[in-house]
Amino acid sequence: MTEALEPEPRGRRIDWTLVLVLVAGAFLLLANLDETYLWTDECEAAWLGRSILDRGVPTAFDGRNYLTQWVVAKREDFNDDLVWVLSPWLQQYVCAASFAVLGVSTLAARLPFALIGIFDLALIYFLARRLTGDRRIARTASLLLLTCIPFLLHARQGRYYTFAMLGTMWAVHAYTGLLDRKRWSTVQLVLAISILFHSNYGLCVPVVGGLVLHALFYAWKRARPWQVVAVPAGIALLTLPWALFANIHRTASRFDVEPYFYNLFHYVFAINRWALPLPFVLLFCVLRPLGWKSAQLSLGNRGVTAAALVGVLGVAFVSTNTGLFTRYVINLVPLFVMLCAVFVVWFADGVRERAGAGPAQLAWAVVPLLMFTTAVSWPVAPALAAAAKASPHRPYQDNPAVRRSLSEFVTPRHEIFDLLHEVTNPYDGPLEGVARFLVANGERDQTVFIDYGDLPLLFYTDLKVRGGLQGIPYHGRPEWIVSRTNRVGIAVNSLRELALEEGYVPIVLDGYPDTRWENRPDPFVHFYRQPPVGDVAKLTDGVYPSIVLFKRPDVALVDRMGARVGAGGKR
Amino acid sequence: MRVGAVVLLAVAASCGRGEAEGPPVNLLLVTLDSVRPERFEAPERFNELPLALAHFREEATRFTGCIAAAPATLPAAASILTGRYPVELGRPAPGRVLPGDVPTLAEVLLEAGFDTAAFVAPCSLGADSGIARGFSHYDAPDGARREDYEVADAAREWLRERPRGTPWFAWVHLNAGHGPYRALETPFNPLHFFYKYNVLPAQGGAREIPFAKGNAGRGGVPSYQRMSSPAYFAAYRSYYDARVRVGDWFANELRHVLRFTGQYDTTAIVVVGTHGESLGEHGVEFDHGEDLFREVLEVPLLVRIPGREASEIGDTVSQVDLFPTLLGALRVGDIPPSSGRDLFDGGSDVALSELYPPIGPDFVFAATSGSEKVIRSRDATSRFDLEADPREERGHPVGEEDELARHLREHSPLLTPSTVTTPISQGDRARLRELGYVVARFEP
Repeated sequence: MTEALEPEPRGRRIDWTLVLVLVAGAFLLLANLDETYLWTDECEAAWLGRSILDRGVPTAFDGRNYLTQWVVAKREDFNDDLVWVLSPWLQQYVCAASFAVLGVSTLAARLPFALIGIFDLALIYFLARRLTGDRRIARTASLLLLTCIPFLLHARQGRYYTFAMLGTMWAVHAYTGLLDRKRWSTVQLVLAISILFHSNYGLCVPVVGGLVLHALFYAWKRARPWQVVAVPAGIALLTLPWALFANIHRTASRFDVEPYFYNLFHYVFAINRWALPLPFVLLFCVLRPLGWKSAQLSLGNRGVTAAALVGVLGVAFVSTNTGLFTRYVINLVPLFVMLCAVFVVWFADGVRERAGAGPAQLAWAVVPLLMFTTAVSWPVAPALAAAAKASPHRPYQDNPAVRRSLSEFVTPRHEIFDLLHEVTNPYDGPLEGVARFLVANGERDQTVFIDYGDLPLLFYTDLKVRGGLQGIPYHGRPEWIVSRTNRVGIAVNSLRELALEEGYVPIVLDGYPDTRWENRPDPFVHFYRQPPVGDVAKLTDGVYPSIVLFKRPDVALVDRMGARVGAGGKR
Repeated sequence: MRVGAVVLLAVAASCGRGEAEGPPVNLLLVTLDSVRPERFEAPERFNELPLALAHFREEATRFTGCIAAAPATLPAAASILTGRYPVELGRPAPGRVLPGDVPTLAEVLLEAGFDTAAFVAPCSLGADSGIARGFSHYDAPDGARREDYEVADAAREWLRERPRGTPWFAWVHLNAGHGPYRALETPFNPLHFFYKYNVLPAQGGAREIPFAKGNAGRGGVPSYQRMSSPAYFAAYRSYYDARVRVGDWFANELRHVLRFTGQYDTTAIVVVGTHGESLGEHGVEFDHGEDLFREVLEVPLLVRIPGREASEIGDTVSQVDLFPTLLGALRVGDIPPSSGRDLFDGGSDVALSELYPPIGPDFVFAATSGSEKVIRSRDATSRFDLEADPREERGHPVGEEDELARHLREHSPLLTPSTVTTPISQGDRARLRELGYVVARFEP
């Protein structure tokens, strides 16, 4: 469909670059996969997945505990039949299938998603080839995705992210196939969009919108009437039943106009740093009038145009969401990475055309530069960070950790080296410590109250869990209390002080730093190394106190696990 | 792709509610203390959080004209469980025992082969009042009261353990809106968040209310309700709303247990308030048992009988109507005589209510029928037009010829001796005092 810069070699050959990418990707995605405990959002999918094994559908109540963020959501995250409806079920059924085969474990919760992540590395290669017909672009795209930090972090999570990337790439792939009148492309497009929908229907909207817009403007005449009917009908058939069942018009996230530019600049900042450095785009805008043209970077390349439209529309759309999470653009990251590869090849070809083969070889050095540094994105990063900080935002978005992080990420240093450390070293997170302690010392009839992090305790312990974002009324004297230092959400004010006033005994779990989140994939807040634990009175940036839990005085300890009992609870 | 759709549809269908073919097998009766219907269902209440029982509200028959038999827990609960007005039961109160010849709902169902159990929050529903008759398992507090989560915990375990094939009847009484509100000030309640962020900012424009000297709420917040903070009306009402929210949540959680254990479609469920609460109306601040105005008599009533269509019925009905209604729905045989009428046949056209020592300060009786209401005390009989005077501020004296007044007189002789009394220990007195009872009134 497109004009390739180099003729494709005939016949099927093994592309050793792809093989290398897949092998390296397998290492980066699978190594140490179960070292960190599942964090809150992963536990949602895992806990519901486990419920599927018992009840056949994701069920938010197990007879004692609820899985709910009812207070925060202010909407129904499960229906009156106790069936989870806040998010689509693909990830939960994937977890359930994995649990059925491998048993319930951290590894089983993450493995299938990581495997799809490896598949995504292959898919971007084939997508780039389909869209550009250029094997160099395909290789470059897969290499860049291999060290793309948001991709790696999200693909190592037990959630829908890799499926969303798969659905998005496959949708663009199938769409171009449709334009080229390839066999089965209609079916593929329907399946791809449906996978994306059942990963996260919010991410589905801009992808569908982008492809429809593209079709209207560039490819309307190529569409066959039966396809115009069959594609939406097929998608509706595979998505509407669940959408109606789940009442998504009631549970969907709300639009929020006020922080639009705050969100937008954050997302653009992330894409610039980890997927498509904007200096490339600026360079193209400057050099194109000077004759640095490219068939790939023209409106004539329908595939690239469609990918770009989906990407841009996607970022513009998700910025309207109240929440600000890198995961909301994670399905677009491979598209931006592929566009980056197109720019790289354009740049190298331009140099070759004007300066000869030698300088062109040098131009290819931009690939390792992109893979292992963020130098190319660096020139515009401060401006984007400043724009984000200057934009209106909601009070709850004024999170010092996130806002500070923008400044911290205005550096040319790439986190791939941190990630290599992460996948080859142990990591003990705060809720891992608490969960292990409670498994050793708690009993089924006991209650643990925690101000943030209820879901990991639900998944890893057998106790009754209250607190967190549940909003379930509770005013008893629980056997255990966990008071987080960096609590978020519905925190009980002065819980720690109240626990001490009530005579609870503090238990300090040395070696488990009380970081706010446990293995959260958002690169702005992710910990690659276990942060140092320090004296609570002398904490500095990057140093955290050990997590503390409290036991009711009448509760006996079975295994102290080296914890300091009865001291150090005061903050 | 059609296969996928079919699977999804099948899953969706399997999750849908089934309708029971025959009569319900089990009965869950949830009584909520001190809950006013409009605070219970008000959409704006408590940080706009939806009613936990919202789904239940949609699938149940909602009686918007339910009147409590008494503005106090024990006599109202006794009326619900026997179908008799308090005057027919020897005016239940601490130290008095229900007459043995009046069958209770639990006794009838036990006789019919049901497993019966009760889980009650306050000590005022102690077993020595006779209200525990017929319950093979009666779970009452050791102290003044238990919190709703404890009551729900006990009930939940009992419900989960029910063997298949044996019908059961469970009565769960939750504190809900009953004070003392300070119980919510304990540390581990996420509702604090709302108090801090939603109530405190509103305090500036709220009126300040005085503290009363004793346990009666006339003219000020009664002692047992008193919180450490200043008595701002908005703050107290918010705590009241929060407590109602707690009762709402746990009542719904019990429904969820039935869903989870697959008993939902064979269980009749009733959620009913025992009485209301005065939030400053008629000079009574956050208390009940001082008068018979609508704020303490109107209660929510939701009845779900499997197989029966949801509806809303605005007729006046009484708590005593539940007894014949539920026994009729369960089809357990002959229904013992009662003062109530089947709710689905219109219920009682006239709902009677009583206030008497030691519940209230004096003997007062009320009869409500539609928008008409008559209140009769020792000194006077007044008629109220609830449509024209919804706040019941303009009572008109009526003579003996008034039909409603006559009806009331016939059914409520002013003085009826108690049938059986039982001594109240010092400990019980102390516990009752914590719940707002005026101890001096317990004296024989």
